[in-house]
Amino acid sequence: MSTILAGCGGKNESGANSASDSGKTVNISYLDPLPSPERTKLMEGLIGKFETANPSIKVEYMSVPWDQASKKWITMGASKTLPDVVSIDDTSLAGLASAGYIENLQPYYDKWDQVGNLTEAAKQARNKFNDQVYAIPDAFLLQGLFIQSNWFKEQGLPEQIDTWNDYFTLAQKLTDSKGHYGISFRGGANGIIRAMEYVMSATHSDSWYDQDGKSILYKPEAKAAFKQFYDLYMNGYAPKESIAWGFNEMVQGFMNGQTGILNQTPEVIAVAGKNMKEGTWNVVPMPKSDDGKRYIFWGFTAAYAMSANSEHKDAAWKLIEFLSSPESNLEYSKQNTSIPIYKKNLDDPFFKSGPIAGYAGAMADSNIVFAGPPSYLTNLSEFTATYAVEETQKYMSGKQNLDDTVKHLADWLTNAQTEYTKANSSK
Amino acid sequence: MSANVKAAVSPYPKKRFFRRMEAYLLLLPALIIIAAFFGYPLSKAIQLSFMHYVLFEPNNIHFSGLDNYKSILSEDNLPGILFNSLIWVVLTVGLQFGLGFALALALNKSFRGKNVYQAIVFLPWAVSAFLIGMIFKLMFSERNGLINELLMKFGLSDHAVPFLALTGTSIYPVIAAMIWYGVPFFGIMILAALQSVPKDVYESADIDGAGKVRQLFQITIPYIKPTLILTVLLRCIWVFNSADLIYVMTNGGPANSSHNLPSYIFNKIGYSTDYGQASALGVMMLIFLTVYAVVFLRATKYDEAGDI
Amino acid sequence: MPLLLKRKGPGLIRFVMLALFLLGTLLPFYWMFITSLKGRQEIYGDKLTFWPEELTWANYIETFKTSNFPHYFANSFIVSIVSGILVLIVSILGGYSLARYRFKGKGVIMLLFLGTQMIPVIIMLVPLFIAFSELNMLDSLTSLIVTYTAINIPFCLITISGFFQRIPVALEEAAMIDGCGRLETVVRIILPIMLPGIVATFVFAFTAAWNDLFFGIMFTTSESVKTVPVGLNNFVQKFDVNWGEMSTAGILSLLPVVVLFAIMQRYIVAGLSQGAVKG
Repeated sequence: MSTILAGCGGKNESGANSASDSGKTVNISYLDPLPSPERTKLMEGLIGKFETANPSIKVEYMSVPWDQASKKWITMGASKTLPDVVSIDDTSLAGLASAGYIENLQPYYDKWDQVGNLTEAAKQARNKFNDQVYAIPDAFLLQGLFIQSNWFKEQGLPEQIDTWNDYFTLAQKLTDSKGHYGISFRGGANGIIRAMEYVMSATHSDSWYDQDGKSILYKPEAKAAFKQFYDLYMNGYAPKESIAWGFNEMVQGFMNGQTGILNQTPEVIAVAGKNMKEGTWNVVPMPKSDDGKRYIFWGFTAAYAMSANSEHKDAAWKLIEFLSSPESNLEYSKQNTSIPIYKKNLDDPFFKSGPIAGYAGAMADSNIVFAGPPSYLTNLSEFTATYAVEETQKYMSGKQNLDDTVKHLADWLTNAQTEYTKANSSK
Repeated sequence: MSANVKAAVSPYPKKRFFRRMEAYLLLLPALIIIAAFFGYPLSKAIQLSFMHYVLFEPNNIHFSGLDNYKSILSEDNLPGILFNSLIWVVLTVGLQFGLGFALALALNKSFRGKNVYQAIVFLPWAVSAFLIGMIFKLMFSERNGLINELLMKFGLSDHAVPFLALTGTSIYPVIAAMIWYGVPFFGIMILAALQSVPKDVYESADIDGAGKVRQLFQITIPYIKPTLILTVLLRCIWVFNSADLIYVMTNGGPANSSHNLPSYIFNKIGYSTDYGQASALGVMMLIFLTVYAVVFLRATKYDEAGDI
Repeated sequence: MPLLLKRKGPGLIRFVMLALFLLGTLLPFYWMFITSLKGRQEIYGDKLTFWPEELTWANYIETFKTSNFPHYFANSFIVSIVSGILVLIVSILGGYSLARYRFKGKGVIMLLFLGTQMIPVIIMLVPLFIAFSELNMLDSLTSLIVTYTAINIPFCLITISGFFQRIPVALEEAAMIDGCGRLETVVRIILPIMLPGIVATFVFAFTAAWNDLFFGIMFTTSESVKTVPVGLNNFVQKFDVNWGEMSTAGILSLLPVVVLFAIMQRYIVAGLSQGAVKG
């Protein structure tokens, strides 16, 4: 395909000679993978401000529904029609970068005057491929626990989940025979990330690998942790249906009063606020490990990346820079109920009260270990969305035993890591 | 009869030549569109099926012979998925046909309000598969699901069943949705065929005293048999290739137990970006269905039809 | 009693059957409808209600206010009708050829048509995407019209040729002996007889285009060219399925199709009453 396309240039008539035509209007496009009436209005508002500030640049807003987004990025990338600016998620970044669909933003990043004002988390974000920045995070997300306050009150339990042991005990306590379950379990796509979060916590590891590049799942204590985590499902503390749950099913399960505890990111605050009665729910921080630290998954929702085939890279960067400016970022983070990328924005009163305060506070907590998945692997999403799903679902439905399941997962991961190391050391 | 006419209409070889050209000319628009639309993608797919072609590895694209085919055939999931494809086609088309036939028969007689009735029962066919998938997913859900609620109300079950999460059987609710969706199609096609059966044939049968059931089997079905066979066989191909309801309702889960072949390819290519393997799987489907089509053409003697 | 059953039996069976079909058809529609009348908290509520406890039109108001549904709707209509008509024209020409001529390569052509139905769309996606982008046709209704036309031709052509085949050749010959030309015979005599079949085929092509999600998602990105299924998919968000508004949009999107179907099925009936077919 690539050879066929070698001579295939752009379709954008207005920009035949982009860099030099400062006087003429430049048309660029932006692809949003998270369209909703609220968000579309927000993004179009921000784009409107950008156009006012840059009268020579016109931006077309485009969107694709979330569950189809990754297929669309790949298709557009392969046909060199990716819009100039694209919001992408952290499991797709490495793949898109390695395929050459998105631009290395390091040169722009190095010259960006806001770098010094970013939070530490934003600087260390999993937005790099081969140590080069490929996208600017939109905002930050980390895990927290949504709880049904009513259920806790009924049983006279304090509304907190201090340690993972408490988490497991509560899962049992909140389950009854009337269709209430302890945990909004994630058995479907990316469910393995939740399980690994606990495995890391139990083995005090901030990575999915040990120092030799072997999967931590080979360790006996990791296997035990894996078992304990999936026992939540196996012992019936999560709905039978949750074997197939992804993002929105687990959130819905919580919102419709089926489950008592939901591990989710702050974005869900806005959704829960819309769908649930006030005062019936709350958010508490993730549980501590037995070493007193909180091992937390963190990431961004949809970072701004640039198409490698953009003909107006300067204009595209201007848009990214604008959307990532402190003002835009603050507006965005508030509406999205997510953590801003600037230290200063965290001081805004919005992040000091209500459910979001816990999340925002966590960013400054020295006891937090940021424990994310190996997103530098180009095939990470294949693992989290297909391979691991099949393996764990086989285990959950009793079709495969624990040893085989854990071994398969560990082998796959170790293999991927070996190949990654090989590919990168030879460069 | 047709041999007669051939002699009458085209007595000269030259005229016959033009007649033949006419046949091709009439088909030309269809052939051009199809060649333009399917030709390139198909040749590309065949080419890719012999290559290691993963989008995320742009520097590692090379000819790989039969590797893709080998790795597919050795895949553990394949037998299960083929089995699913089989029950998917047989149950869906079988029940769509049976129910559609019954519906068409019931409608092949006028009654008051028939127009309104027809407009309603044919409606499922106009609903987008996405919407059908979502509504059936909602109805079949474990919590607040209509089906579970009804089952429990009528005492058929004492607890909510997670229909879409049962390994091995989660494909059945999808088939149910598919049947609901497709009955009107058969209903319309068969009704259209039924209405072309000449009335006088029935009239003479009435005089002979043939019962309704005998009339059905001895007159109606033989008369519309070509339409029935054609529709069923084409439908089989279409259903075999249809994946969107599976995609919306179960996404092939749990543990790939409700995938059919196309939904499996769809899923595979979506995350692995391994176009080589997916193309090989597609080419295999093509071969498989071509064999089916050849058998079908033989069975219906399509070659010999027509010609005046 | 047995006599009564014998006389009333078939009618009764028919009545029961019709009633069951109606019930089965309506159930999902009913469910969609009452979901559209429920508030968010009732949809997510603790117990299932068969009729909204608090009936609300909020979903309808919201859908009209915030979404582009009328627009999606117009796009779907244009795409489905234009491609439906194109399919019909091409299929009648080709279908007639297949049914009435004997020529070399007919079997191959049939195989070709059937073959197109067997290619998994996902494999065609990237090459098609490239082709459309080179023709500068991406993100336009044209790309969808072309796609739906091409995809629906094989099936519709074969179906139409089946309808031609069922019409006795003798009828056509008789007309031609009477002095009608071939074209005139087909247009004046054969096509009207086939009307039910033609209408049914059009409905097939129309709904296939109307319902497609996959190409809609892949080939369009701008709001101005999105179709109904793509718009519906927007209600499934990352964390939230907006069941209320999705059901509302679903119900609204059905209304014009109901009208269309009502008109169409009249034609299917009309074909019957003409009774022109004489074996």
